This record gives sequence, C-alpha cells and structure tokens, in this order.
Amino acid sequence: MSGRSPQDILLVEPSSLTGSIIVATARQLNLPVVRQVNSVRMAQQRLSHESYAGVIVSLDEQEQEAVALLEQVRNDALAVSADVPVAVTTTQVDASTAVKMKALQVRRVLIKPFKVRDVIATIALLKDR
Amino acid sequence: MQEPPRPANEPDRLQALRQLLILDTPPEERFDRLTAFAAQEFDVPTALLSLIDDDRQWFKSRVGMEQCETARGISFCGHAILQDDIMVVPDVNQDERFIGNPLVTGEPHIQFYAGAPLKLPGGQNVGTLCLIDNKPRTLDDIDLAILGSLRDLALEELVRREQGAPTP
Repeated sequence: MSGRSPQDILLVEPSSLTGSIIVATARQLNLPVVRQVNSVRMAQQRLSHESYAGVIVSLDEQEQEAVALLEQVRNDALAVSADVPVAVTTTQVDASTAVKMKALQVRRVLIKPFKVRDVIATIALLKDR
Repeated sequence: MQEPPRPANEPDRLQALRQLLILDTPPEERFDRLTAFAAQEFDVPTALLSLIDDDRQWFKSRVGMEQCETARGISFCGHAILQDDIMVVPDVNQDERFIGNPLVTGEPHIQFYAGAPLKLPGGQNVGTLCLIDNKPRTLDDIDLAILGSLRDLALEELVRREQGAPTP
C-alpha cells in the first residue's frame, strides 16, 4: 500500500462506519495512520507482509481466528514484531477470554459498544509504548 | 435573541442547496446512521443533519427531534453556517444570540449546541451536522475531531447524492 509506514496502526473492525470515523479522527489529531481491515483474514494477510506499531482487533464473530492470529503474532510467526502492542474490542469478556488476553499480553480491552474517543485514546496508548 | 444574518453568498448558497435535490425527501439510512452514531458517541439526546433553506431549517436526518423543520430565524444552525469551523455554544445562557430563543425556552430546551458546517466543494455552507443537549457541556479536541469526521462522512454522502442525481 502506498505511503505505508511501520508506525501505522492496524485496526480490525467489521463496521466500515466505525472504522472510517476512527481512521479520519486519528488523521485529524495527527496520530499514527490507522489502516482498517474488516476481517481477521485480511489482517493476517497484512501482518504476514507488513510491520505495524500497534494492532487493534475485534474479537466479535471471529474470536477463535482472532486469538489464533494474536498467537501467531506473539510466536513471531508474522512480519510484525512479536512484541507489538495489542488491544482488542469485544462485546463481552468472560473469565476464559480474560485469561487468554492476559496470556497474549493484550494491553487494553474495549467493551462494545465503545466510544470512538476510547479507541483514539487506545491508539495514543499503543503509540507511546 | 438574534436572528442569524444571511451569509454574503446567500443566493449562490441557496442555489447550491437546491441543486442537491434533497429538500423534503424521505429519510435515508445512510444519513440516519450518522446522526444515530453521533447521538450515541456524544451521549446527547438530539443529533441532526440540518439544511438551511431560505426561511427554514429542514432536517434530512434527526434523532430526538419530533419536528422536521423550524423557522430559520430561530435556528442555531443558521448561525453555524456563517463560519467554516465547528460552532460550539457550551451554555446558551451565556450567549446573547440565543437568550430567549424559543428552542431554548421551549422544546427541545437547548442548553448546549455544536454544529459542524457542511461545506460543499463549491464553498457553500448548506447546513450542519449538529449536536444538542439539554444541559451545558464542553467538547475537547478529540470530540471536535470526531464530530468533524462524522461531518465529513455526511458531506461525502451529500455530494455523492448530488453526483448520482439526475440532471434537472
């Protein structure tokens, strides 16, 4: 992708509207460029070839795939750094998911419906780590 | 209360608005989802996509407002289109333009207003995406950026509609 930088943030968000607002708001605030994809599969393709400064993944509808993707990241199986800061969004967190997220060193869990401003704060957090 | 003055480019602005062929058309999901998103994101009871016609403001999309239009003379958005930046009125009781305004003294009892102008590529501010609350509040830089992003998406839809409309 043209103009891509390793400082970009990869956002996996199935809602195009929510993703568009996050991307545009980050741009207005001069935060790192946010690249949105709609699915875990598309994220995997990106992360196989490109490095990012942070990753935000939606767990909804594809939790197993999302967890598998994060395991690949932490196992250094992709192009992205194994210690890349990660946050997730999800509609609910049960004990099992919480344990998984902790093991995967997820820095923040945003519960849906989240506010865009919370995602923006998370992007700023990932940028600074 | 002060009625909003007319912008210097008013004839051109009205012509551009009418060329959108959107006034008095039915609600559309692509606009409604933006006002719904705005109301939820900002926790406000009312969010509107308001278009400023000659003597009225007409709402293409509305959350929390029963009326589909009000007189332009009492509109907040009529003031907001006079500038390109987002107009924020944190507390209407501190702004003489709105003291005694029927939209403040009666329904929807506006106490806070923020309107992001919808500026067409030709430079005409035809309306706003606006937030209304019945208590005073403020917006920080992140809020303003989010509202600006929502406005940009609304504008994109407006222009797309214009480009896709049949030639009159």
